[in-house]
Amino acid sequence: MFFKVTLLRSGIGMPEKKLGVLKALGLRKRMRTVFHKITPATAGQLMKVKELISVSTASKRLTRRQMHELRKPPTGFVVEQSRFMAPKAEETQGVLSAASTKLSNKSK
Amino acid sequence: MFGAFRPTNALMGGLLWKIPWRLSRFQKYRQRQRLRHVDKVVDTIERALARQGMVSKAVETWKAEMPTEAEMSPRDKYTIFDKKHKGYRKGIHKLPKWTRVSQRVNPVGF
Repeated sequence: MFFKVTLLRSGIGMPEKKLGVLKALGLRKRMRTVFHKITPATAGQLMKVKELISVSTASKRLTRRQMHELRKPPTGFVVEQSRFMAPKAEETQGVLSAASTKLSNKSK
Repeated sequence: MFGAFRPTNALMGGLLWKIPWRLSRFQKYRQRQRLRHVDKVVDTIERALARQGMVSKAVETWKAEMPTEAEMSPRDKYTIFDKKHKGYRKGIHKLPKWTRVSQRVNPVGF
C-alpha cells in the first residue's frame, strides 16, 4: 500500500524546512502526484506539509505516464487493421508455408 | 464633483484600510473548507497507518492537541489571539499566509 500525495497549494513563501520536506517528497510543482510507502516516517513528512497536500491510499505505484493514460478520454474508435500492426498468427503461417513451397520448387 | 479629480478617501491622502477588519461569509466558508481538508488529510494518514498496524508520533500529537473543525468555536476559526489588539483578538486573515498554515489553538489563558 502507498500514500498517493498531490501538491494542491504551492510551497512558495513557506519556511525553508517545509520547502525541504516538499523537495524530499518529490513535490516540486502544484498538482504533482507522487507515491510513497506507508511508514511512520513518511506520515511525519506528510504531517509537516498537511495544509498543502491531498492524500489518499493506493494499492500500487503508478508512473506519470500511467496516470496520464488513465486521464485520457476514450478515442471513440477501435483500430482493426493497420500497416503498423503486427500481422496475425494465421496470416504469418500462410506466408511461411507459401515461401517454403517456393523454396522446395526451386531446389527441384 | 465627478470630474477628473474625484475626492476619494485615497486621493485626499487619508489613511485607507483596504483589508476589512473581519472576514466575509464567503471567506469564512472557504476557511471552514480548508480546516476540514486538513482534518481529512490527517484522518487518511492515521487510518492508512492503522491498517498496517503502525502509529506516527506526529499524527498522535496532532490528534491529542488540535480540535477538529467541528469541535472548534467560531471565535477560534475566524480570529486569532493578538496581545497588541483591543480585546486581544484580530481576524485570522491578518495572519501571514493564513490560507496555508494551521492556527487552531489559543495561548494558555486566552
